[in-house]
Amino acid sequence: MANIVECNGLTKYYDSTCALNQVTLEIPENIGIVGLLGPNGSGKTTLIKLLTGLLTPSSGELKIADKAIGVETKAIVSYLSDAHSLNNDYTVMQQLEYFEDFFLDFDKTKALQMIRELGVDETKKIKTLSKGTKEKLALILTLSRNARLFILDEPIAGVDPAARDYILQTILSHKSENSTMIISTHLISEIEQYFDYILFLKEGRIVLQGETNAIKEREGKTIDELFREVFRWI
Amino acid sequence: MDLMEFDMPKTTPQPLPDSDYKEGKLRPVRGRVLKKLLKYEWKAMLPTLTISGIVLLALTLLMCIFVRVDLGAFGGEEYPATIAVGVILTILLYVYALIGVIVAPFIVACRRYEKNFFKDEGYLTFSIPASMEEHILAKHLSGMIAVLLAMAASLVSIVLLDTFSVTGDLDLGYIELDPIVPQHPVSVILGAIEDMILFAEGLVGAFAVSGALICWGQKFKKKSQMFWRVFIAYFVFIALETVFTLIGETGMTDFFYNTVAGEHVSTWLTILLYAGVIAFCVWYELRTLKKKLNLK
Repeated sequence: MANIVECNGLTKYYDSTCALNQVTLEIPENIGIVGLLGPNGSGKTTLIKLLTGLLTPSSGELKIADKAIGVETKAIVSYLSDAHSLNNDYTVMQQLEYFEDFFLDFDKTKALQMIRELGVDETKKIKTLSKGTKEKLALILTLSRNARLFILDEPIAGVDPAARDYILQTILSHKSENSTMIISTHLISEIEQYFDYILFLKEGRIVLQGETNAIKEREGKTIDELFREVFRWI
Repeated sequence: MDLMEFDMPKTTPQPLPDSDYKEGKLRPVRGRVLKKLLKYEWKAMLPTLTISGIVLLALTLLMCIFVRVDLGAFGGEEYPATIAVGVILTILLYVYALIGVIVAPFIVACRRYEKNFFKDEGYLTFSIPASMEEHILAKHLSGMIAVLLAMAASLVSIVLLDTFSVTGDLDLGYIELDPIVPQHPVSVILGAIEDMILFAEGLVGAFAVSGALICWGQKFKKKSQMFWRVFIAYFVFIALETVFTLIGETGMTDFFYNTVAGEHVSTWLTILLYAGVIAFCVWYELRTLKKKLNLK
């Protein structure tokens, strides 16, 4: 099976601080949902920023679908950041058109359907929406692409339980079999049942990776229990 | 609670066939990315241009009325006090509008540069499949065209004012040729070319230097750090300027100011210097966005 993500000796320094240290990993294509797990400061967001081309590695090699990070990989990666990245001055419809203009794989019909189900007025400016609605809108736009790789950075952090359920449900109902989805989170118990593959990051290093069921069987623990054990002293 | 209980749409997205990427079928879109980026820059710039254009037009019309006012109608050579205050205020506003109409798109372009690249919007900006070169080019090009349009609008306004003027104060009806023209026609043509290049460099340079300064500003976690460095940079600039002035006083640079050939040489040196500054600024912008970008 081909790999959607491949890194070899990936290292990232912020000045003298090492955020990622010699990370080597392979994520097979179409493996399903990959949980990128680790406590705050473990390097999850750094790894995601490197995958999306928002950061440049200090050293090492990184490839998506066998291509070095660049314009071509951005065309096949759908990314949801943990920041509010939508343009506040646009209306919901204008933001949709922006996605349609720049992402060839964007399915506007699907996005509109989801937005209407959410009950958002498309003529409203994004700055007038509540924080929760903005997050849901960003998720809808991200999932409305038919991308090969989805990367969601902390999609359920900082939202109320009802919004969390909505987000998880939206992710699950729109997850395609022909794509891979990387979800970074530290709220493992909420979502671990949906992970097909997990990566544990600790102090910038991969300390555990593999198929979820195999790890659970081998360790005799849930992923949440395992996480608490690995990161007990952090 | 089983999440699957929610009544959600069950559409199954099908990614575009792998072969489309491998065979490069998606590549033709790349050529249009710059066009699309420019479209969004224009959309953002248009309200500012429209508003400043309307304000300038209104003030131009008002000025046109004032320049045609028949002083005799007021029974004397001076305006009545109330009219005089109105005229002075309108002239002041008009001058500000002339400056503002050119400066406004420049400020909007700089604000968008920072907001789209270095604030939270940067996450979306840099996830679209466009190269850094395309991002920078779209920003600068749209800004330059907007400033050129604003300059053209200001020029039209001044010409209109001159056309309506009955007092003859504006004297824009003709261009007096420099007496040097008959003696040095080649020099005059060369001078015109030099002026055009310097104008183009000034326009490109304004955006390139601003872009580079915004990129540089992102390096500082605290605004005070940036303030002190800008302060020091200003003093270095003043010191260099003083040194050049002192050199000029010694007469070493007379060749550049007192001969026709010298003037051209000095102009071309300036052109080269500006080109170097622009090249450095663009390189710095690209380096920052490609290698040093770190959105918080």
